[in-house]
Amino acid sequence: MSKPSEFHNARIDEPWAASGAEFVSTEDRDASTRTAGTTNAADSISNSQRLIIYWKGKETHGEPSMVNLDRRAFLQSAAATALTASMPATMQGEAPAATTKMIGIQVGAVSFVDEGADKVLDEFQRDAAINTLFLATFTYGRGIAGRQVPGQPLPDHGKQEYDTSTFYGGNYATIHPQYYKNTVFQGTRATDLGDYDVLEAVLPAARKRGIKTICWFEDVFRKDLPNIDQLQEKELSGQNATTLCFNNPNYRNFLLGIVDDWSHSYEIDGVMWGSERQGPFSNALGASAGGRTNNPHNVTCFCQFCEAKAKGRGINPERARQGFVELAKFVDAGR
Amino acid sequence: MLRYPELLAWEMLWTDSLRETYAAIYKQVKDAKPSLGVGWHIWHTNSFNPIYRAEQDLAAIAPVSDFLKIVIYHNCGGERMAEYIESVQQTLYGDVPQQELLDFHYRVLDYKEKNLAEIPFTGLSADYVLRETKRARAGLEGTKTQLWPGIDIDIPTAANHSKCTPEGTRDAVLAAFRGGADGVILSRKYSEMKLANLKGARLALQELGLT
Repeated sequence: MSKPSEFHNARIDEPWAASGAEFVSTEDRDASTRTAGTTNAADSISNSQRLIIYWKGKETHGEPSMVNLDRRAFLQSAAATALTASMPATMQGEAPAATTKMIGIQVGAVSFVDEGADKVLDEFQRDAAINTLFLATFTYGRGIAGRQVPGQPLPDHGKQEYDTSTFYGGNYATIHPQYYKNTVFQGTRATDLGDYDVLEAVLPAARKRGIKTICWFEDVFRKDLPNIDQLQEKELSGQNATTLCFNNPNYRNFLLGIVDDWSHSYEIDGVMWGSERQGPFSNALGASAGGRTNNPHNVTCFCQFCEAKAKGRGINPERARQGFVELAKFVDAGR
Repeated sequence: MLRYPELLAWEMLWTDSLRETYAAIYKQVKDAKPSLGVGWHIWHTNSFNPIYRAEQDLAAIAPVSDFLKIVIYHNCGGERMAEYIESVQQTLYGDVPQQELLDFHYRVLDYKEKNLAEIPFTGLSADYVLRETKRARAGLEGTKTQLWPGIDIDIPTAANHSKCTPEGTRDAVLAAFRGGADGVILSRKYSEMKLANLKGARLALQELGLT
């Protein structure tokens, strides 16, 4: 395994690192506080200086960085800032100055398609000083992708119609097949936005603004995908579940393939993955915040890979099955 | 559980498999490009289910976590907590009145929130965000993992239930940073957020002197 310290050590120069505060003196912080909604030109210049400090030492991936601004460019920038500083910041519609804290937002591809990358990024910087995108790059769920969920009021931006009939989900970036050789799970390209590649479309615009991009994905899948039956968990009853098994090599290799693909194919800044699932014991008890009533007979996973892993730990799968059957009877009786 | 200890063994088998998946993804990304950050979304059940929470050993996953998004959705949290209490009152705690069961969970989870009849209509408070952030911070003590709480902006709730406000966003972001967060992740998706509520985050950053 790679040393965890590699990222941790490098991270000191990342804008989301708390330790990045070493670049920001108390004076800078005081200045930035005053600048929010102020009219003082000197404060605005401090902001420009602060941006440079903020980016000092950062990897630039070939993009011109603030730290490379020459003196002339800096003075031009400062002068331009001073000219506009007589207006309140809210009237200018300016983005607030950068912060040393990570300020992220989750956003799906459809927002950039509907509203345009620059408009969305303008809004993010202006409204909330966003410096990191958590881009829903892969999911079949509506919780992090697609427009507003049906039945909920549409927000005050974006297309004013639901995408109920068009949302499909999948990978909103280009699939590079060489990274998926070790899984039967293929063909996950999202089709609801045509051949739109959200990473290709958004990364350059984000990077130009100094906004980082994290590929955000979750283990939510459709039931009708090719070969997905070979990745699904097995319920206590022996039926396939709709959820996928972490111990199934086809699923594990799919997850590894997709992060390998993004890491090699795009200039991203990281990945975040989430599994909104819990183990069989809580599921059997019906412990749920989603208003669902779990069927205790459907708990997972009793596939060949899980049973082999259990045996390796000295756990008897048959005894586990019997235990969950008894627990299901207890739960049924309580309801 | 006494007759079938395999129940909990099977539970931990699942949890360990999840952790192994974290480790495998982490290694894959670091092997490709060590400078990339890798982290995990820890979902909202962490705020309700003490069993699930007990399995979220943050220090144990820290070596393969550059950052953690701990979901601390204040507004929809009220509705969800009420649903959770209703669900377990039907099974594990069938003999316990729902309000007593909620009080028990508040005690175990260290919350000081409103009663069961109110929380769907009020949501959970900024104090919940503060407490959960502090708890996660303590769980990560001695590690280098960044703590980025997930903040609720217009996550859907039932029509007559609590809705997000700019002040609610502001207070949640303030609470997260005052609880020791290294950042925040405004959630769940921009396409469901009202701009006024998004701007609440900026109010908090201004108040904290972060912009």
